[in-house]
Amino acid sequence: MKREYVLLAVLGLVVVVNSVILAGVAWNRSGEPGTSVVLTERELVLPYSRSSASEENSGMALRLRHNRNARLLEWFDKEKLQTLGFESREFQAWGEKSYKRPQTRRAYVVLEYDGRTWAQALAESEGELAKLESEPQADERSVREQEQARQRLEQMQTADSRLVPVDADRDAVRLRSRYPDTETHIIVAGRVGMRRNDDGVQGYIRSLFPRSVHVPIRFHQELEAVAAGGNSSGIHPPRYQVTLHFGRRHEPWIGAIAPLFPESEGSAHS
Amino acid sequence: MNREQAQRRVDRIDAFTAELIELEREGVLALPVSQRREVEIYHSTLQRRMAADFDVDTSSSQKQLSWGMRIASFLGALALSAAVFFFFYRFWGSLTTLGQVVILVAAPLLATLGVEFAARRERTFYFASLIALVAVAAFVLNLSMLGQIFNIVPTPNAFLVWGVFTLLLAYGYGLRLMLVAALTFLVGYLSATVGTWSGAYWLSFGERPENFLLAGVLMCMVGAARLPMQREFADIYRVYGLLVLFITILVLSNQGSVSYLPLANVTIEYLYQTAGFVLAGLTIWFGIRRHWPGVVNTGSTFFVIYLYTKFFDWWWDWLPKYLFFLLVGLIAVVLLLVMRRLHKMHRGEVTA
Repeated sequence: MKREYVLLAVLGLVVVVNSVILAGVAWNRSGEPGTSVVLTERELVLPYSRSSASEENSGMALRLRHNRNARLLEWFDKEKLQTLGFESREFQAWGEKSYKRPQTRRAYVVLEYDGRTWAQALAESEGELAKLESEPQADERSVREQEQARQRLEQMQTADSRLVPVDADRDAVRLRSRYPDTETHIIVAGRVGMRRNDDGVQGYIRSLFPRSVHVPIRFHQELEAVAAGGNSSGIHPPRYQVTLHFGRRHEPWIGAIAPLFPESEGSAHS
Repeated sequence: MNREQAQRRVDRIDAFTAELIELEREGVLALPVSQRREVEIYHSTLQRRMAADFDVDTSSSQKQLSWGMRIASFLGALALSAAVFFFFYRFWGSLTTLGQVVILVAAPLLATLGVEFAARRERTFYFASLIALVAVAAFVLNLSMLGQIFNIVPTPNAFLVWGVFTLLLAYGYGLRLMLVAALTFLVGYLSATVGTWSGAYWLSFGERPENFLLAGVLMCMVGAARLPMQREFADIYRVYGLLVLFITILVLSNQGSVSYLPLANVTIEYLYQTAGFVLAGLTIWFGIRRHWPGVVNTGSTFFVIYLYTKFFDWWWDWLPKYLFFLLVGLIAVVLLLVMRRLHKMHRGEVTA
C-alpha cells in the first residue's frame, strides 16, 4: 500500500469524520429549539466536590438528574416493556433453569417537568405525613417514622428532581405526538432495563443521554461563584437556574445560567 | 522486499555461516577456499546492503538493543498518549468552544503528519510507531471530547472510525502495535453491532459474550487466508482471533446465564466446555500442520486452562488443597510425557 495514499486517506478520514460530526451538531441546533425549559440545580447538578481528579479536569458539566422514585414508574409495566422490545422469555424468574439476565434497550423517554405527576407525588407525601402526625406518638418507632416522613417531604419540596419519567417509546415522533407540550415535557434518549419486584416485573431508566450537559466557558463564572459558596451536599434550595434547549436530535445545550436566591426559587419555573 | 523479509534473510545467512563452520569442524563438508571466499564476500556485501537499506540487526547484541528500543518506544508512546489526554483535560475548560474544536481536530492531523515525518527520517520506524500511538490517542480524544462538548448521544460508530484510522496507520507503516489497536477497536464495533441485532442497546454488548464470536472467527479467517500481507500481521490476526474465541468460550463455559441460547444454563455450560476442548485440540492440530507456532501455543495454553478449570470444578470443594495441587501437578507431568512421546514420533516421521 503506497504510503502517500495512506497518509492522504488518514488525513481525509479525520477531516470527513469531524465535518460530519459538526454538521450533525449544527443541524441539531438549527432553527428554533424543539424544547426549551428552565431547570434548576435540583435537575442539573454540579459535581459534589473538588477532588484531585476534578482539579485535573478544568471543564465543567452539569449532571442531568431525573427522579428515580420507583413509585413514580407504575406506568412502566410488562406491557410497556414489550412495546420497547423486551421479550417474554426475559420475564423469567431468577432461579429458573434457563434464566437470562435481561439486557437493556434503547428508548426515548418523556420527562415531565414539575407537572401533574410530581404534584400528585408531593400530595401523597404530604398526606402520609399528615396521617402519621394525626396518630398518637405511642413509641419511639412512631416518632422516628414521623421524623423520616417529615424529612422525605422536605427533601421532595426543596431538593429532589422534578423531572419525572412518564412514558417511553422507541419512536420519538410518536412520543411527541402524545406529549405535545414542549415546555413541560422533554424527550431524551435513554437506556432502559427491567427488574423484578413483588408484583412481577417493572421497567426502570438505567441512564439518560447525555448523562451530563457541558457548560461553555461563558457560563463558568456564575457556577464558580455558586460552587465557591460551599459544597452541594445536604438538603438546600437550588442556587441557580439553567435554560436548557433541546434540538432536532434531542441533544441539549445550555442557553443561559443565572443565580437563584432563596426567595426567588418559586418563580424560577413559572 | 520489506524490512521483515530482509531481517529473515540476514538471520538465515548467520545460521548458514554458523552451520558451515560446524560442518567443517566435524569434517563433513569442506568447501574449496575460493568458493568459500566467494560466498563470504557475497554474504558480507548482502548484509551490508540490507543494513544500509533496511537497518536490520546483523548481530545478537543489535537484536537485544532492538528489543530494548521497542519496549522504550511502547512505554514512551503510552506515556505521551496519557500526557495528551491529561494536558487537554487540564486546560480545555479555559478555552472557548471554537478553540476546543480547533485543537481537537488539529491534534490528530498534526500527529499523523508527524508519523510520516518520523518515517522518512528513520527506517526502523521506532519513532514513527511512538508518534502513531499518540496520533491514535489524539483521534480518540478528538471524537470523545466533541461528544462531551456538544452533548452527543454515544454510538458504536466511533469504534469503527478509530479502527479504520488505526488500521490505515498499521498497513501504511507496517506497525504491529497499530494493528493490535485497530483490531481491538474493530472487535468492539463488530461486537456492539452484533449485540444490537437482538434488540439490545449497543452499550450492553459485553453482557452477552457470544457477541464477540463473529469478530474472533473473522480475524482467524483473515489470518488463515493466504492474503498478501506481512507474515507478522497474519500471526497477529490468528492469535488475536483465537484469544477472542477462547476467552469467550471460557466465560460461557462457566456462566450459562449470559448466553443467548434458549437452553438450561447448565446445558449451555457443558456445551461450551466441550466446544472449548474440541476447538483447542483442532487449533493445536491445525497449527502443527501449517507450522504456525503462535497458533499451537495459544491452543495448548487454553487446552490446559480449560482442563484446570474442570479439575477445579470437580475437586476443589472436596479434596484437601495439597492433594488438589498434587493431582494437578501429576497430570501436568503425564501430559508432558505424552507430548514428549508425540514429539519423538513426529521427529521419527520427519527423519524417515
